[in-house]
Amino acid sequence: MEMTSTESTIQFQEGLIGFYDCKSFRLIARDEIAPFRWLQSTDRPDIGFLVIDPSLVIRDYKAIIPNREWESLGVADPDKGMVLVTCMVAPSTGASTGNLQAPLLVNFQKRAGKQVILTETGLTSRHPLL
Amino acid sequence: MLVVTRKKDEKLIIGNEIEIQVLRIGRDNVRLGIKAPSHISIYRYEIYEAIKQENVNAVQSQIPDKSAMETLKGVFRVETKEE
Repeated sequence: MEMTSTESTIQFQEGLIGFYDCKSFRLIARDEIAPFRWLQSTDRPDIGFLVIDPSLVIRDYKAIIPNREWESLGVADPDKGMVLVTCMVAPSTGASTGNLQAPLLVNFQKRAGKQVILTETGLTSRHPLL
Repeated sequence: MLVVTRKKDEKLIIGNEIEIQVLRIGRDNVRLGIKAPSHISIYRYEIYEAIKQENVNAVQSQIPDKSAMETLKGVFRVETKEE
């Protein structure tokens, strides 16, 4: 069967936290890494992240994101916003984690994103994926 | 570093839009109120630093190869297409 691959370029105006020089990323979806996707910096070839839709980890994850975070991205209806979290894949699968404390919010229509830190949710930056 | 002394209820302004007000002075802490546009993110420094470090830890320089992904993918029960 044919392998499919799609990609879109998304601008993170403020960069990612700690990576202010990385403002432009390609979000790459490929069958062979689904349901993960790959977020590749176009500024720095050595910087890439494995990302996943956090609703696959916690079903209602989107509901905990404050509306004001979406507003600052120009997303009027949070249902239409895209959320990704970075993952760390461990050699032992059970130890793999996702950063549910600092999601990447994306206005996909405008191809614009930002990373935010959620406080007082109790979620951590190393939430088990399983 | 700019060092400024302020009393309770007094403010600072940073740029044209960010205001910081001293709301309460305790024995070993102060309570601050911050007014800023919504696109400005405000975090406790130590939380911010921790996330910064987590981003560094999560960096990978290449897409994991197929075999490395297999076990994780199985967890999410996603059907994979084979060529």
